[in-house]
Amino acid sequence: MARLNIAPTKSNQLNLRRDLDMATEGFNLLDQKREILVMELMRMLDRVRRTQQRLIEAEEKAYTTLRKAIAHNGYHRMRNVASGISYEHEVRTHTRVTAGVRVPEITVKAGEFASRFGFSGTDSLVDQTMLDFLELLVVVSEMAQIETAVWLLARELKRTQRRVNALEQIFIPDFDETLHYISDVLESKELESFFVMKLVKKRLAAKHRID
Amino acid sequence: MASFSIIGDEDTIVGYRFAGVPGTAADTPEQALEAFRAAVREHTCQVLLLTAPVADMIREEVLQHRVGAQPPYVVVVGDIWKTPVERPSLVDMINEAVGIRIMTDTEMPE
Repeated sequence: MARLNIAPTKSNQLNLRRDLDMATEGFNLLDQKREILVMELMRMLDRVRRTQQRLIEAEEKAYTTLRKAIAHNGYHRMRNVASGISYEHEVRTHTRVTAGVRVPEITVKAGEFASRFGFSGTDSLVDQTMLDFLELLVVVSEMAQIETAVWLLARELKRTQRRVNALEQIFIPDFDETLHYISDVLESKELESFFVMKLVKKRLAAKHRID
Repeated sequence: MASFSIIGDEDTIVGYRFAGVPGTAADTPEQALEAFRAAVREHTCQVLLLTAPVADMIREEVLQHRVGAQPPYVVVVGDIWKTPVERPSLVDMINEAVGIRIMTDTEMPE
């Protein structure tokens, strides 16, 4: 704790009291925000774990099929087949606001599986590759939403935590200590002027008596 | 604007091409950075997939883009050769931000 370097005057005391009120109010709001962010992240934790697991499994499946398909059909054949494939995926994005953080929500409707190449010169592994990668894409989209949301919420939580700590550990104690100091000084000044006034009054009364 | 796009190695791109996802091959940090900047600048897609090695090459640029919470939304996927890349998982990120670690039954010490 450190006292602020300001003159102990009545106006500074009033200003500081206003600042302390504002800091306390800010602290309460930020503390609530911190709690909301923590709850939101904890709520997502299970979903993150499940989606990550699904992504690992879907990747493993699709990549294994692709490696097999490349081994069976040859890389150049696979690349030629792939270059002619196109799908109309529908991606809708909108943002929702959680504790002041704009979190994107992504809705994906992946294209329906359909034959996109000639049958000659390809085997069922090529079809399976397409099917597996279409499935993978759905999980990847979900992961995109979660990854962005977690990243943004975690970053905001860290920032909020720093602000809460700064207010709780530095600003509010400093304001408090300075206010106490100013109050003490003003009180002693008041006491001093009271005694001076009393002394003056006493002397004036003595003078009147002599006169 | 395409729905998806990927930046990664040639082989992984071929795989995603089967799901109709166009891609840009990048083997060096310079190529990765150029492809990433082009995708962000030209809004070529809504969801941008980066393979883990590519995401590792341009980590700072990706972080800066994520701050904006603007499309294209970035997601990191593995490459087909399972190149090991060290990066914190989302669960680690949550644990670090929240300040406590929630353990599952299997992670609990006996």
